[in-house]
Amino acid sequence: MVMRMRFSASQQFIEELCEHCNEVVSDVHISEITYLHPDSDYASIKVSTGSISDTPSIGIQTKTAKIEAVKLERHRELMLTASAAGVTESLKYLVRSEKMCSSSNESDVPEFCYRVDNPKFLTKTIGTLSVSESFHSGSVIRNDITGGFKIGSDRRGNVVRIKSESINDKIVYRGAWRKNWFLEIEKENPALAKQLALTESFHRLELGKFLEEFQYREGFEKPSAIAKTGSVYDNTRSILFDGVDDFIDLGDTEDYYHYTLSEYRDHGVTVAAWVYITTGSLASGYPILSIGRTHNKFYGMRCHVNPQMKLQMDFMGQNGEGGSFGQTANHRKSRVSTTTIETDQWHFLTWAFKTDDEDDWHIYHNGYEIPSTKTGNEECILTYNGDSSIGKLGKTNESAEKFMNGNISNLGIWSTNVGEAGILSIYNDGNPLNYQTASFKYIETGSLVGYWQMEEGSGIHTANSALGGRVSGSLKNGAGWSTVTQNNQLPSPIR
Amino acid sequence: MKYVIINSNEISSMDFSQLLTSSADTLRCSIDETKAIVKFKGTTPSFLSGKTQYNHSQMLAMVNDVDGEWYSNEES
Repeated sequence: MVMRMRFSASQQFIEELCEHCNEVVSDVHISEITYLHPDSDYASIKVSTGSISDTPSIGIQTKTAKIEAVKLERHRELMLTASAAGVTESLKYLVRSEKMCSSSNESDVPEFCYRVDNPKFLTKTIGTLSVSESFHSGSVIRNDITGGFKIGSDRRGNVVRIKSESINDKIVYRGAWRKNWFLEIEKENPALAKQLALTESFHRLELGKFLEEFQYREGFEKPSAIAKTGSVYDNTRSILFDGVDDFIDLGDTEDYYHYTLSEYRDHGVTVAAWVYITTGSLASGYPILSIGRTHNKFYGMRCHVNPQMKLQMDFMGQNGEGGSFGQTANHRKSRVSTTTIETDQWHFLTWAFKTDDEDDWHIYHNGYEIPSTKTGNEECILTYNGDSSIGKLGKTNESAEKFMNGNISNLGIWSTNVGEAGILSIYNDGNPLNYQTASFKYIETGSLVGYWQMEEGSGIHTANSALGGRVSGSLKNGAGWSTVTQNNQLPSPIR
Repeated sequence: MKYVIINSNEISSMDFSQLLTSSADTLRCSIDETKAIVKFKGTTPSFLSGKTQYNHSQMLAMVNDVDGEWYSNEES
């Protein structure tokens, strides 16, 4: 960047010159200079640029206020509305974007150049690449080809990994930093994490994968101090359901899981499970958990994957105050995902009832919320009638019953709304988490009221690790133990 | 695992200790409730000898045939 001071009778200016032709491009707002101050990590200095006769003012702005001020300035200069990706990173990472004069591209279209002038940055090499002093947007892409990382500098001028950037109003995350396994390493050994972030993608480039797609078991070792934590355990078993008549009988759960509407409003309820649906879509769908229903008519609460392979959650019961009971859409209120899930792979599915209102219900797939819509009758009143089960709907007439076809493992019920951050932590990048152990942003272990890990491997019962062991599950009709788990089958990577 | 379709009037003659099916209470019945499904592993129990046996995929296809006698819409 080339700058010079200019003085007039009443004001002083800092002008930015085109590096190619030295023409004046624009005035540099004083806020940009103070923003670059290496010591101003959490506050910045605001200097009045008004008339000399004015009393100069010096004040402290918050970091957020300063960013907003710079943003506003950049908006005025069209620097945030340019189509080139990476423009806004200049605001966050000191990879400063510079507006070049029209003569450089012989048009009136603003063009931007990115420059890094910190020596620490300039001496950095990534594999065979080195970061140039000045690069245009095309080079920004080149800076990224080593496989999943992109570097910039922090506000102190240190070389840092760019973890996310705003592109077209969407936050794009880069690299492994968001992965829990990486966070674990970072927590225990920041230097190792930094090394991994800066080097491992390049070393593994020949595998054609980004660093974020790797798992521990693909060669990344945890620091020895946390080689085995309480939150990551060997999930060696699941329960296989044949889709014909297998299920787990939870019996009468009235004293434990028949939450009233006001209880749903007060604290919410969350249900999560690892689920593997076998190829061969069933016309009947895939029941996961049914609470309080032993009746052909619609009763109780249920979480399931419907025949269209969409995740669904229902309250079932009375058709409004004083209304009938039955088995129509009027006797349920539901939330259904608009996206589908695939067969023959493990999924971490979560149904979160934040309140009793289906507008407050959320569906998550592999830790992230997925879009959903409400269906049925919003006046439907949740009514329980009968026992609870895993892997079947809960009708009395077995001919009309629906059964799970596939595997279920680690089914949990929380008497709270766990929330997206907690759910993402439980997903744990596809590494099974013991729901009884807090991990990162999952702290709701005290609200875990039902937890069938399904790890026994033999016998016809699966224990509930919550509630002091009450509500043990009985495997019915040959529901069998399986060694197929999410632990020994790679989950699909999340982008 | 083998599946066998029995008539409802045969349920009382089933020895569930030789079956994977847990009990008469957990039997899957046909829509008209005249038939039921039982299953076993290994040697065919004597009380099922002579009856047609189905494997898992055959049975799945049967119970998911929307026009068949084992399937009914959940919502009506």
